[in-house]
Amino acid sequence: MEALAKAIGLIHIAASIALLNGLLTTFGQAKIVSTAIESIARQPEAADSIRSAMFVGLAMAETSGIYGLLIAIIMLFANPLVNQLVSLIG
Amino acid sequence: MQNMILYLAQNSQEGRVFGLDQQTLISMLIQLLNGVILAVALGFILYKPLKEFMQKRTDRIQGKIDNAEATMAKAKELIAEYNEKLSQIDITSQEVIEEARLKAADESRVIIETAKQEAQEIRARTLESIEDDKRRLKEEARLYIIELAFLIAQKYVAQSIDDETQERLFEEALSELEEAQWQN
Amino acid sequence: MPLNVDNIWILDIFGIEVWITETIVNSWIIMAILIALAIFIRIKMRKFKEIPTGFQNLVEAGVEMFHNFAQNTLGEKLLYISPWFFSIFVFIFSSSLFSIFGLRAPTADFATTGAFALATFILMIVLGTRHKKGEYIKSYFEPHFIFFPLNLIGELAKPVSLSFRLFGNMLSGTIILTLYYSLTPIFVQIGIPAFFHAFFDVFFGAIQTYIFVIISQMYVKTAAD
Repeated sequence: MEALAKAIGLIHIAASIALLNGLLTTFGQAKIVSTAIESIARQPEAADSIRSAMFVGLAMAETSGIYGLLIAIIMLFANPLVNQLVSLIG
Repeated sequence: MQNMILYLAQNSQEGRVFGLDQQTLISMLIQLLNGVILAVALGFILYKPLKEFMQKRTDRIQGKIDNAEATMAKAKELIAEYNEKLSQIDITSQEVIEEARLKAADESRVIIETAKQEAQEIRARTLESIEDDKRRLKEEARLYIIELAFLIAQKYVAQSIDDETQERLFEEALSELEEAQWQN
Repeated sequence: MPLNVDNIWILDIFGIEVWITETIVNSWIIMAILIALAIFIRIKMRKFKEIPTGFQNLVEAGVEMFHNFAQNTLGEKLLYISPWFFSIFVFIFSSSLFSIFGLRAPTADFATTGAFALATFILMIVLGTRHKKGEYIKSYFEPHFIFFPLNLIGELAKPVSLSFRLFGNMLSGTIILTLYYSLTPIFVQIGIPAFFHAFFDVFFGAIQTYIFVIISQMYVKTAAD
């Protein structure tokens, strides 16, 4: 039981570390948005196409963040290695 | 701390947030089926009829616009034609007026010239008649003076001088008179 | 507002246990509402006039907007699958709106987003082989056939990232709202959560719906064109 508690704690810490990639993802997204806004300011008539390209680029840049979230969610809710971890600790 | 975590883990509710097992796969298939049913239903009930409706209306309005444009083009053609005709009419009327003016000017000139000529003639004739009158009056005056002088001379001569002297004196007086007359 | 997806019924079909979860029931409710709305609009459509006014204007603007959007991203050739994208667009957006009422959005479950991403994957393969024939299969072996595993992973990553993007965004909204509801006293649970709902459900819901649909369309277009 103690081992299970330790494993749960460890898994939560690991999930939070996995989610740290959100820092860089957000940074990249901010760069995309700032560039897009600059382009729109320079060429307001092309705002529509720039905006749709920006959204697609944002979604693409978000992919790495999404993978981190995927890893965190799998570790938290569907960890396939939790039994091994418990037996290793205990 | 550990007891707390265990307590929370054991007391979590039934069900789950996320899992990768058979049940997720089955749920996915059910949701896929749901999505297909929804797509078919919405597509056939709403999307396609509405699109067709709008397409038909677009075609109809497009047809109307084309029609209106064709009518407009025809009207423009007519306007151009009429404009041309009008301008031609303008030109003709101007020509007519010009011609009339020229003719009138000619006529007036002819009339004025004739009038001038007539006036000239009248003047000349008048002058001539005046001259004639003058001459006739002079002649008459001269003859009258001659006669008067002759009478005076005769009276004088009858008293004192003979016929010879009388003749000479008469001639002298006449020539003097004549000279004086011409000098006047 | 529990975080878990509950099982409403547990069926047993030919020895296989099938859970009818909250997600499935909620999506049935949404489907029923949407289909009822569609039938309502269809009945109203008989009275639609040449010059749109009021309600007709709204419906037409929505359909026209989606039509132009699909035309721009899918192109003329693939426009015949736009009803599918229209329905998933409507479904995803209304399921984000669904969680305003404190119910669990179907898109905050991997089953729904995975199903839609799987549908995109199937569409990619089917339309790719249909429009490009052998060239689509050949594209897995480019530039050399030892790159096949790499290409395969790249293709498989598309539906995975697509489904997890929507799932992660919707679930994060749900988690934050659940935390708020379970951690705060009752008197701040009225009024203030409206802002969270407006932000996480309406705003993020709209953006994520748009992104999900536009990226699905682009994947299908790249596969088929």
